[in-house]
Amino acid sequence: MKNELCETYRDDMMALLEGVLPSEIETKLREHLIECHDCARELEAFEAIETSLFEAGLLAQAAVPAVSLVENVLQGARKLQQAELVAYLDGELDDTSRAACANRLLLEPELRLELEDLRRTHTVLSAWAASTAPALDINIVDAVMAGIAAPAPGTVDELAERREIRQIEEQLIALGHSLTVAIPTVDLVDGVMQAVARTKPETPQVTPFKARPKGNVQLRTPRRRFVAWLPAAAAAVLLAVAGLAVYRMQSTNSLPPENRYAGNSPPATDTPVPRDGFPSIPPETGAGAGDIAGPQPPGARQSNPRNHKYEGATLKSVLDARRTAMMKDAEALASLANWAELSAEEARALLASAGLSEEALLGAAQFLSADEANAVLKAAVEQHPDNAYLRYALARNYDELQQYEQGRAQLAAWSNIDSENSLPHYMEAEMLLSQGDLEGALEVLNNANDMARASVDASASAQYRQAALIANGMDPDVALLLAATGAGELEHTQLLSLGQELLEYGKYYEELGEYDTAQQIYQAVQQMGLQIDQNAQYASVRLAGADVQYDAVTALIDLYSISQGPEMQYLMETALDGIVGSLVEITNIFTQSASFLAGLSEAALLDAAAQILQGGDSSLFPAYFPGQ
Amino acid sequence: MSAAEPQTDESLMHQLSLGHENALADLVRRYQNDVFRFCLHYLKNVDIAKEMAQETFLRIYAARDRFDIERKFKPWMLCIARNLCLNELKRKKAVQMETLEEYASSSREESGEMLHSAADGPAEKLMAQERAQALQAALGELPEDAREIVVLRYFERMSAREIAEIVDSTEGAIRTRLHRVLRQLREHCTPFRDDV
Repeated sequence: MKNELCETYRDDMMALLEGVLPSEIETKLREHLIECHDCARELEAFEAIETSLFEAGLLAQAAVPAVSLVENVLQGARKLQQAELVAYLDGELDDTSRAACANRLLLEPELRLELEDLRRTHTVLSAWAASTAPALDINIVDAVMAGIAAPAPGTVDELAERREIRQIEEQLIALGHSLTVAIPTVDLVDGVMQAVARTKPETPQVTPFKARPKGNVQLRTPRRRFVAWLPAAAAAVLLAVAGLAVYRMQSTNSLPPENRYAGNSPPATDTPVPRDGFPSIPPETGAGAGDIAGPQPPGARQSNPRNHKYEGATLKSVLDARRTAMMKDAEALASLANWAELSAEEARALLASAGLSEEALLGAAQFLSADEANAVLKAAVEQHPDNAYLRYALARNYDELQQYEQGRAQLAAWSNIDSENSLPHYMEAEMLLSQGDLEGALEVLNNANDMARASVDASASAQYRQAALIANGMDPDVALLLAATGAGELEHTQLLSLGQELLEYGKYYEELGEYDTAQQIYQAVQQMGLQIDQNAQYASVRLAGADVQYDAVTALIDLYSISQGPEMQYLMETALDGIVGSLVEITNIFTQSASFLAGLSEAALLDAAAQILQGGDSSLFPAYFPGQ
Repeated sequence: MSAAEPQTDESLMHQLSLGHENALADLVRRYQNDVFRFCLHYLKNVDIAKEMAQETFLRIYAARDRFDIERKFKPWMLCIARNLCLNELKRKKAVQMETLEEYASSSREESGEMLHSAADGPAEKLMAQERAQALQAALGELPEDAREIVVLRYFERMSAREIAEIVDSTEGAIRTRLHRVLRQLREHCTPFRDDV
């Protein structure tokens, strides 16, 4: 008769049948089985049942037909992979999947190509949605008006109209969705208000029109003629982009006002990258650097004793701050500004220190006033007269100091080095306008418009900045990441400023009633923006090109509302649609780049940062750059 | 491990997470028939079972980034298949085409006999046949959850630990259930009863 003791052996009996009962327990169980005939008989019956069941299982297994699922599964997996890439593009993957997807993208070139294809499709669809929407709005008006005038309810006409309206609603919902997907969420109120507050008192003055604010051109709002939804869509895109711009402005604004336009730079790092016309300096001799800032110790690494300012700066914290800053977080912005920039005092201290590399010296000069930076840049140009970037930087400096003749001399030298580049000519035109030479400026603008490329070496600028950060005590890896992810931001500010100053002159002539002159200037600036956009290596520089075009086209639309018929206005509004599409695309680069970098391992992240620093964002996302 | 040795399931999953699609093909080749048969136990419909088996591998692919390579692959895979099958049953109240036992039965009819040892004499063969028929009848009377345990343990030859992973239970609980099922079968199946 089975009893409670037998029940305690129940699991052991099953484990014995399974063949997993430990030997010491089996011994005890066997002893029990000798004493308990019920359990012994049960075990025997179970063994027989199991034998039959195993036999039945073997038969069943043999009876099941074989299948071949490989091909179908691989096809299905392919579709899933595409869906995953779309979700990656849209930022809809969770952290684990996004990181894994980014890792696969890094490892698989074919996957990267596929991503780029999808991205292109995404962009085309977004642009298409934007370009087709005005017609929809007109249809809505027609449909509503027809509805008001409709006869008795329930007629065939009314039903047809309702169907039409429903279709239009569906199209609008789809359009709204596509825009929502394309535009990152940002909270800009605080940032915009701060930026406006900071920008106003720092407005530089333009001669000879001192009474006119220079560099304070407001982005003109889209024309009222636009159908109701388009301004909202365009504004949403621009706000998203503006969020990035505000972030950059805040970074720049953290400098003292006198430093805002003291832009100069070139490569740095402990292993200086040889650049055309700007050979790196052998550390053994310190040649070149010694001429500017004393001899450089052999093998000196430009990392000073740890700077407390960088205590929180790790690869992760920098990436986190970059990503958070994309969403406009004040704390993240403050961290980035604190890490990525030197105070004027820090820059001066670096300049005074012994053994500073030339790259770090030039990086530090970016954070000095135009007055202070001038000596450094002049010395560097004397050392490296064929360095195009140094010529650009020094020309800008002279422009800031209103020393136009010296500035034009630097631009002429730059043009000799880089004869295909139109940017020196646009800068020269701005200087000529500042000197009141309208005829000369228009001639230079015409020549510049015939050229194909307007570019500035943002890579060199970022590398100089990297060297300065390292010399200031920042961890070299963190400096690399900061320099790479911030590359092009300074140039965005500088190029946007150049475009706005030129447009201000156009506006001046427009107000004087000299519409042809104004039109020439606006059109030239639009062309400059296009030339920048088409040849940019960095998303920030592309953004400058698109921003400049946008400002110029809105200025032209205003002008045509006075001087031309509605046809010209319509043409310009169409052009504006294209620029809005371009801005959406650039916004995608920022979000995708942040997402991509966040998903990488530390080693891969540093590789990617080095790649960006050397070859621009375009080296990672070539499909987003027309010049690639 | 030498290059010629086949990779473990877990290693293939790691490869898959790195983007090597061949690893998926290897896993499908390795387990497609097992998963199909497993699904067939639940769904009893060849077409739907094939569909669910295929879906199982796609779910595996979709979850490749979340697979813990410290965990055993096969129970994880079959857990996915089981969930898919149970959902399908709920959704469709699956059309019962051919039961597992009918498969076994038809196979027996084709082969003309049960599997048994070559040393068995005519009397043993007869007894085995009798037991199998009785067992088939008894299996038909078991509730679904008990049948599931039987299928996993005796038809798919899984250990109690593996079954526990698949049905989200504990090893002890599975042994208890198995014990209960065997008792039920013994009670309902005359050739195994003490009084026979």
